[in-house]
Amino acid sequence: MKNLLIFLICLLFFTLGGVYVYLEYKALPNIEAKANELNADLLRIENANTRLNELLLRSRANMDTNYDMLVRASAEIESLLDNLEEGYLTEGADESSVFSNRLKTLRAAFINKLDSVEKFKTNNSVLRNSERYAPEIGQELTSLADSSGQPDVSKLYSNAVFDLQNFSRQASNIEPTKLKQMAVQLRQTTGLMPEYLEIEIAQFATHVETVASVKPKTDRYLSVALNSALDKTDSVASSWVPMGSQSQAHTNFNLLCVFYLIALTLFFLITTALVFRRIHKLNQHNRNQSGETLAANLKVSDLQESSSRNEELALLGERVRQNQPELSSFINQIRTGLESLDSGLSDLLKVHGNAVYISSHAQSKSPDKATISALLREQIRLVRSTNTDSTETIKVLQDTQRNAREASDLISKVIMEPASSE
Amino acid sequence: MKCSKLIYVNIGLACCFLFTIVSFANDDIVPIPTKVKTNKDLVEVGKKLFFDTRLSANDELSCASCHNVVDGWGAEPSAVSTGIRQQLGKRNSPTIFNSVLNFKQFWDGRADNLSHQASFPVTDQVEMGMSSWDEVIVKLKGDNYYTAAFKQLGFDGVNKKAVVEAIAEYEKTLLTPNSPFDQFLNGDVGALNQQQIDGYRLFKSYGCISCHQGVNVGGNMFQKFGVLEDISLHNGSLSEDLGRYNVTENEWDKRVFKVPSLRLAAVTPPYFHDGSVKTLQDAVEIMIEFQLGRGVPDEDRDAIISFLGSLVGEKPQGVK
Repeated sequence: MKNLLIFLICLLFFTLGGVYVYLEYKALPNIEAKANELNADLLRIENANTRLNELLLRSRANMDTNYDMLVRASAEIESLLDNLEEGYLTEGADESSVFSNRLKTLRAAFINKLDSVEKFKTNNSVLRNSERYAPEIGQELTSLADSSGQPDVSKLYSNAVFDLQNFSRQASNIEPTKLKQMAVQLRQTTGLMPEYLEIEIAQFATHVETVASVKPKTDRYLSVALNSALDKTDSVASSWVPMGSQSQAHTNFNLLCVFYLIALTLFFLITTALVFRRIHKLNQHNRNQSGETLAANLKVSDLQESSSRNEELALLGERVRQNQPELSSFINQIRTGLESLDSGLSDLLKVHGNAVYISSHAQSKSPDKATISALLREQIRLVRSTNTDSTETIKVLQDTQRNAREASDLISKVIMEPASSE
Repeated sequence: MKCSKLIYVNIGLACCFLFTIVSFANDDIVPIPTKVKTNKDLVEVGKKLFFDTRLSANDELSCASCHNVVDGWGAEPSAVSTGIRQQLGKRNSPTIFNSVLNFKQFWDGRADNLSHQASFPVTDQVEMGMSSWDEVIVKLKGDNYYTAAFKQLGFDGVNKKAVVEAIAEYEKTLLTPNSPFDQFLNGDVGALNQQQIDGYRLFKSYGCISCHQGVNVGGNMFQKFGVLEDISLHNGSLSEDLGRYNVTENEWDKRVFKVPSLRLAAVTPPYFHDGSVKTLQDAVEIMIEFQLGRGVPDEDRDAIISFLGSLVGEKPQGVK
């Protein structure tokens, strides 16, 4: 009972232990899922990056004049990067690891990109304004120069507009310095044109100069923005390994499993050993019990036999007691007969003994007649002295024999009766 | 015959009308959403905090002191705000309405979002003058309402994060939708008068739209003050503030500011970062001269101003 209780307690303990191990397993950070999650996050960043690049190009091509989408795409990337850092650079993470460094590099690349996006937006707005207004005012001034009789100035203005529009095109081979020089020349025409146009000429020159200086900046920031953070996500994904607490959690869980299995194995070994020992003891006990049972059976058998014999003897005694008068009668008769025979036969025995002696003496080599004679006389005397009638003796003998037989029959009957009665 | 001509004329007019609608509907400014997704309970807490003077050191100033959303349009009517102990700030308080639509907060864009923005003025020694956020939290913890409300909302009691997020959540609700221009964008051509329509056309052709665009008609980019003309040539204080340079210390960012929203420009004078320009006429002229590098006739300027007036929407109900 005590052993069963201990076994049940141990079983309960190990069952609870198993539940605890299972719960720990369920609570373990799923490294594979985490890796997939990381790839998904990086893919989201790549998609947002692609979208941002597309929006940049659309803005540069003046297809989109609204920067709200750019702002949203930038904010989305920032948010994704924040989530990435919060999700993977957890407390206890090795900040000097390859993954940490690559993640930081990725973030730095995107910060650089987003900074370039902001600068692109700023410059692009200025460029967009000047690219639109400079030809407008240039053409107006060209007409005014024509009407003022200044064909050279008109040609200069016209060329400036042409070069500016040419310069504004992508892959233009006009150098910015040429436009800047042209802006200087435009300012120099103020003396040739009517005075009231001085401000417009200055504005025209300023816008030409602005386009010359801002377009390279716009394109440079666009280029930086488009080329920043390229392929950085791949390097981040390839360098990820479970970090800090995640790895520690798995190590701890493995240790827990090892300890639990060792304890479980020991428990089953000890339990099995105890069971075998118990079986062995039970077998031994059974053997002892069998021996004792056998001995007890023998004893019971003996007792039963003894009891039966006693009963038989008691019965015999009872029978004997019941037949005692008859037996006594036979015995007395036999005794009487035997006494008669004893007296009769003793004389005969003496005669017989003497006769044997006489015979042996007579057959000797030198028989003594005197002796023989004396013996014969003795023999005769003995015969004479024998007062027993041999017939009577025989009769007594026969009676005695008969009485003995009857007594024997009676005894046999007394003895046998209980057996037959049983 | 006359009847068929009339039909053709009507069809032609209808096509022009549709073209006008479509061409404007696809434009660079989009209507303000009527509402944004918010947590109503958090908004209520944020509203109480917005008007709570315990956020200031002398218990006299609240967010609403400089951003009057009840009687005003959420901006400071004076050039700069008067902070704690009658100290004057350095910049004009912009309107709090529609600020959720801005890509950064403050003139120099030093805050990324509204909750980030809300963390600054409280401990600014010129504005609300609290020595630290810990001091603020100690004061607010004395109010059982905040303690219970924040716990109910899942925050770890009253703390800085909870307070700034609540204020930001309230500020998200401060939108001014259904302006005449938004109605116009939504297809109601009659919502604008002719001067306003002309003003919108000029607003684009002058190039204002290059920077003031998007849902908030600005607020989605940085721009240098004085792009085509040096702002220091202008009489006044406009060139003194170095703007975003104070945040980044990047030479490129000198006198760079967040492009402000023009949604409520018509009703929130004075103008520019230091509030030194009192009228919208002056502001428009300065902008066109220094940012666009050109002059503007009075007629065009007035049309643009009229257009700016059409951007003013409806103030939300129950701001307090």
